[in-house]
Amino acid sequence: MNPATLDPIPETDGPIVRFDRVGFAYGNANPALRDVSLTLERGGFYFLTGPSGAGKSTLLKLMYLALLPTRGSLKLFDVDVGAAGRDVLPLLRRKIGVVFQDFRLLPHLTVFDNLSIPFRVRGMGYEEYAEDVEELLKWVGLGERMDALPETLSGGEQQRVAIARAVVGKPSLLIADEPTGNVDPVMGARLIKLFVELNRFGTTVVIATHDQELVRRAGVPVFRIENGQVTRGMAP
Amino acid sequence: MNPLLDLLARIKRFLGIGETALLPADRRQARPLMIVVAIMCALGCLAGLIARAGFRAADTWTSDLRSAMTVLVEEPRTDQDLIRAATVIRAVPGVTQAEPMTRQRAKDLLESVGSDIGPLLDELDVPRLIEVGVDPQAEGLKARIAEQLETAGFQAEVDDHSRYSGEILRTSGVLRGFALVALVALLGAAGASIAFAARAALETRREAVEILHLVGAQDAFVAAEVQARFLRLGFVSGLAGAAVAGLLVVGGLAVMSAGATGLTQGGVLIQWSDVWILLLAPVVTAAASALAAWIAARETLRELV
Repeated sequence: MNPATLDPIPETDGPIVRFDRVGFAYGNANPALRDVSLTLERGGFYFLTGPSGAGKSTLLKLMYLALLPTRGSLKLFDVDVGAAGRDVLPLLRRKIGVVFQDFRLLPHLTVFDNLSIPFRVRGMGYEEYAEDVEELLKWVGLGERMDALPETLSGGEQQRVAIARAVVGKPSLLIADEPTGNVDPVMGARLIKLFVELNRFGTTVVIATHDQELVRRAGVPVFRIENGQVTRGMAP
Repeated sequence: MNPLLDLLARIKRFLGIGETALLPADRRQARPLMIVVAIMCALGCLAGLIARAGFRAADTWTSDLRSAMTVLVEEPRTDQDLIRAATVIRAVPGVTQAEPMTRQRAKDLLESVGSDIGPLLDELDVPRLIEVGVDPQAEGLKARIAEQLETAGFQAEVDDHSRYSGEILRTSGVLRGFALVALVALLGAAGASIAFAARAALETRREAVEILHLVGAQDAFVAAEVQARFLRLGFVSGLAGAAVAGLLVVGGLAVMSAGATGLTQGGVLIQWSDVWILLLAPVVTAAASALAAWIAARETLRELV
């Protein structure tokens, strides 16, 4: 099947993410998430906080479909992922950009090739994506390093590549896991500015962070997760 | 995407040029696998070539047997009777020749191979035979020869060698079966090795596979990445295996031909036209590798989210 010919998931006016009494357990272990209900509106900007081991990563993995709920209902872009066929999940994932805490760049690929992945999995040829990739790399200040391997980049540069890869497919939902955790405060502030800018263009942004100061300054809705349960509030 | 561009992209992917492979081969794992597949391919080629030689030998022998009959004249049995019986046989449509084994001819034959028992033949009660050459397509010839001999006053037995040709056909059929089973077993073993390696490759590159999935890759896309790699590996291994088999056959034939007699000249049984087996081997190996890798990759990917 040519991925480019698959029907894309249509845009709707409904919430972009809806958890309804979602639970998740790894194997037979105690549930990492219990009865989580939350809604992320289209175009929103959200923080997710909570202590280590509270279930933040599990919640994010459910959002970017690295995991599927073991209980309850999860809807992304109005599609019930539990009822969706295996062929539909990749189409949903193409609408989501993820910035991982550890970047997760493919070490054998150059910066350019890492950014080309979202295009290649859509079945696009080099001629179709090369210009977009080069433009985005210039935008994140890595235009001169597109042939470099990730191991030769600094932490900050790797993170910019990871962010560029997350946004290169123009996602409707951008999820970032501790994006400021491995960079200095100046770079952290620049990253947040970048996310705010993307949000202004309509991308829904979810950032998981321990940085309470960052959350406080943002003044946006905050989901706090503790003991596998989520509460919603505003930045203190 | 334009189908032509898609095809070109697939060809480029197969040749390993253009875009960097998203799931690159682990050379340390690939090398032993290539050797194993190449050996299996070489064995497959040898099995095929030997089977072809066996069929050709069986065809030659059965064709020889079907082109000849032997008549045993029981009464009357002098040399003159034998010559007369041969004349009767020659007159039967479908008979190409009839050579009586007179005592003189038998003596000549024995002397030609250095035997000194020729003079004893006159005192021995040797069978009185006529060698008959026949058109193998002619039907009912055995009965017609027997009938004509009986009409001419001979008691004779006609042997059309069907017993021997039947045995040869049965034997060649068994050989054919063995060769097919060997080929299927070798293909299966190569496929199983490839499947095992494809699963191992996906496990080794699990993180890369996860990334591909998370950016929206379909299972078919990831499986195609794995398949392209093993298609290439199968083709290169098949080429190597076919080359080894070709060298072995050429070397073997050279050894057999050195000072060979008609009995041992097996070389004639393997002909240049059999080279198609060697040419086909890389294609079949590549196809089997690609199929095995595809099935294994799809199964393994199904276990992931």
